[in-house]
Amino acid sequence: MAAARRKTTEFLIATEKCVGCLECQMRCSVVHHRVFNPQLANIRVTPAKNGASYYTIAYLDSCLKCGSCVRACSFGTLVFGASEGPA
Amino acid sequence: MTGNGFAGRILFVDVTTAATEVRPLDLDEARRFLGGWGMNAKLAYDLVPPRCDARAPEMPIIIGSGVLTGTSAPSTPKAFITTKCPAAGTVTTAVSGGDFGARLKWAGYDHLVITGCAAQPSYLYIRDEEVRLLPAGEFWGQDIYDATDALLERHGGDCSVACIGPAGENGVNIAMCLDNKLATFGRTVGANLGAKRLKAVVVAGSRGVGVADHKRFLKIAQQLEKKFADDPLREKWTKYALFFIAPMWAKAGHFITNNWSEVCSEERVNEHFGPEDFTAVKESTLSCPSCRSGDKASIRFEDLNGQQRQTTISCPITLVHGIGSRLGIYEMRDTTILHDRANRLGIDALTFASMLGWLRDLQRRGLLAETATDGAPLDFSTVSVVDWMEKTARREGFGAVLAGGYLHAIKTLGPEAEEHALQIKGTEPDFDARVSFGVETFGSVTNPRGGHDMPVGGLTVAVGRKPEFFLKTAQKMGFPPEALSAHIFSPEGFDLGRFQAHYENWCTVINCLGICFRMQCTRLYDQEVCAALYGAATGLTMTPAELMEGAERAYVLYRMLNAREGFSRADDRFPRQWFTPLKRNGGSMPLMDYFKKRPISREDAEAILDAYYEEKGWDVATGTPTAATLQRLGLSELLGVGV
Repeated sequence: MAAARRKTTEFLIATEKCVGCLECQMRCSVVHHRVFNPQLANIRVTPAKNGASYYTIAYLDSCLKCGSCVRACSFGTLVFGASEGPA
Repeated sequence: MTGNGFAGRILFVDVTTAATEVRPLDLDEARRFLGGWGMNAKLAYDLVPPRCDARAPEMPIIIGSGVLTGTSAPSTPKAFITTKCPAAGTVTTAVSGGDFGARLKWAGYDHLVITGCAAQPSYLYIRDEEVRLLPAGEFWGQDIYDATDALLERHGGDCSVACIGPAGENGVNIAMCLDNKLATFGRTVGANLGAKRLKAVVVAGSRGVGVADHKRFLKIAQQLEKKFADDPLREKWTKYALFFIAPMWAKAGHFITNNWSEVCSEERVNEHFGPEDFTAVKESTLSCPSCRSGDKASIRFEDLNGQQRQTTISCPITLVHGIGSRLGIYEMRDTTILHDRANRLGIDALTFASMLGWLRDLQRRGLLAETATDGAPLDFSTVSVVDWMEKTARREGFGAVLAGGYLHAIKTLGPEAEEHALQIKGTEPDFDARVSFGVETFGSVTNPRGGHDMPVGGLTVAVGRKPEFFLKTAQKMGFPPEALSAHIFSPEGFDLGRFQAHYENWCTVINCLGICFRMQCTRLYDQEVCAALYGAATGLTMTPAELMEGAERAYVLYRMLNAREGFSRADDRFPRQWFTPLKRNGGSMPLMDYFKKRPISREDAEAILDAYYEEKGWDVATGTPTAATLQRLGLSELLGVGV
C-alpha cells in the first residue's frame, strides 16, 4: 500500500500535546494488520508515571516509518520532521 | 483480519465462585437491537430477575461497549453499565467515555456480565482469556485515584481500571464508578459494585477488533476526521472545554443556586469562571480513545493544606455548573478541591451538591432542625463540605441520610421535605426547564433513568435557536418523513413532546454505536454517516430508517424493562418547582416554551407528555408501549408485560 512504501525518516514528538486518544496506535494497526489493535502498533502511548506530560510515546524498532500515525494525530503531537511532508 | 465490528463474545463472571464462562454474542439479536447500549438492554431484559433487590447477588451488572467503540471512527469511546438503581429501583444504563469500552472490546468481549457476591473484597482482572478474581487487599478502603494508580502499576499502563471509592464500598446510593480516574459511570453504579465486594474491574486486551470492510470504514472515518479538523470551534473546545460558552450559559441562566430557586449572578460567574480562569489552572487536555476534539482535562490546584496538587476532570464545566453554583461557592480552587475529593471518594458530586443545597434550604425554612445535621447547621465552607463528603462516604451521622440519596432521605425527612426536593425518580436533572424547556429538561422527565438528559447534550441548552434549525437538525437525525411536517414543525416552533419522541431514537442510535454525546462530536454525525459506518463495520446493509427502527426497538425494550419493575407514566413527573418562577436579579423566569413565546402551565406540560406518548405509540394513560407498537417492532414477546 502507498503508506507503507513511503520513506519517511523523521517524526517529531511533542509529548506535552498528547491527549491519550490512541488514534496513532489504532491507525498503525489497521493500516498494517487490518485490525484495530494498539498492541500490534509500532508506536506505544502509555500513561506517564511522573513529569509534566501525561503520556509517554515511543516507537518500536519495527516501525516502517509510513507516517500513518502522524496523519492520524489530530492534536499536533506527532508531526513530520522539517524535511518531510505528508504524502 | 476481518471482522464485523463486534468482538463476538460475552464474558460471564460469577464473583461468588469466581466461575467464568464465555458465550458467543448472538449476532442476530445484537443487530436487532443495534448492539452496544441496545444489546445491554436486551441482556438486562433476559438476565435481570424482575422485582429483585438491586444489591442481591443475582442482580447482574452488565457492562457493554458501543458497536464502533475500539475503532478509529471519531469520538466513539462509549461503555455502558446496566443494572438496577438501588434507591429508585429503576433498571437503567450509565454511559461513560474513557477507555474501558475500547479495552473490553480489544480483550475480545462486547459485554461483561457480573453476578454474585465475592466472599472477600476483590477486583476482577481481565486480559484476553485470562480472567481472575483477585483479593482487593490493601486497595479496599483506598480512594479511587490511589487504588487506580496502584492497579495500573501492578498490571500495566495498557489497562483500564473502572474503580469505586469508599462510597461505593459502603453502599452509598449516590456512589459512582470512575474509569482510569477520568470518565464517569455516574450517579449510582458504585453501590452496585460495592454490593458485590468488587473494588474494580481491570481490563486490557490484545485481540483487537476487526471490521468487515476496513478500507471503506477508514475512508468514512477520515472524511469525518476532516469535519472535526475543519470545525471552526474545535480549538476552543479543546482549549477551554465548555468554559468557552460559560458566559453564554451565565447569560441564559443555566447556573442555578439556592436549591434550584435562583439564577446565579452573571457577573459573579463570569468573574470567577471565565474561559481564561480555566486555562490558568489547566495542565493538559485529555481525551477518550478515538476522540478528535477532546475536552477532558488535568488541572492544578492548591489543596486545603496549601500543597500543590493535580487532578483530572471529565467535564470541567461541572466545577461551576454542578458544584459551584449549587453550593454558592465561587472560587475555582474551592470547587476543584470539592470535585477532587468527590472523585476520590467515589461520590457523584452533582447529586451530592444538589442534595446539600436542598437540605440547607430545609433548615432555612425550619423543616429540618439545625441540630439534626450532627449538632450544627449546614454551612458551605469548603472545609465543611469536604467533611460532609467524608461522612457521606462512611455513612457517618447525618452523612448516612445524604448517602441514601434523595429518595431515602425523603423517607427519613418526610413529605414536607419532599415538597422542596427537585428530583425525578431520585435524581436531580442536569438543567432546569425554566431556563430552557427543551429536549434535555423534558427528556429528564421521560428518561427511565431519572433526572438525566439523554445523549446529544446541548441541542436546546443553547437558547435562542430558530425553529428552522430544529427542522434541519431533525432531517439530519433521521426523523421519519411523516414527522418532518406541520405535524411537529411550524414556522413558530416545534411540538416538544412529539420532537422528543423521535429525538430519543436518534440518541439511541448514538448510544448503540458508542458515539460521544458531547456537542462538538455528535453534531458532526448524521444518519447517513451512522448507517455507512455501521454497514462498513458489521458488513450488514442498514438504511438510516432501519437504524432508527432498531434504535426505537431498543428504547422500547428499555422502557418495558422498567414497566416490568412497575414504572409508568405516574413516575414521569415534572418537578413541582418548575411551575414556580426562578428568581433572577429581582425579576423572575417562569416556565416558558423553548422559543419563549408562551408560558407553560402544569396542564400544558402534561399535554406535551400526552403528545410524546401518542407519537411514540405508547398508551397515554400508562406511558407503556401499546400492543400495536410492540407488534410493529417485532416485540410481541413483551405483550402483557407491566400491565
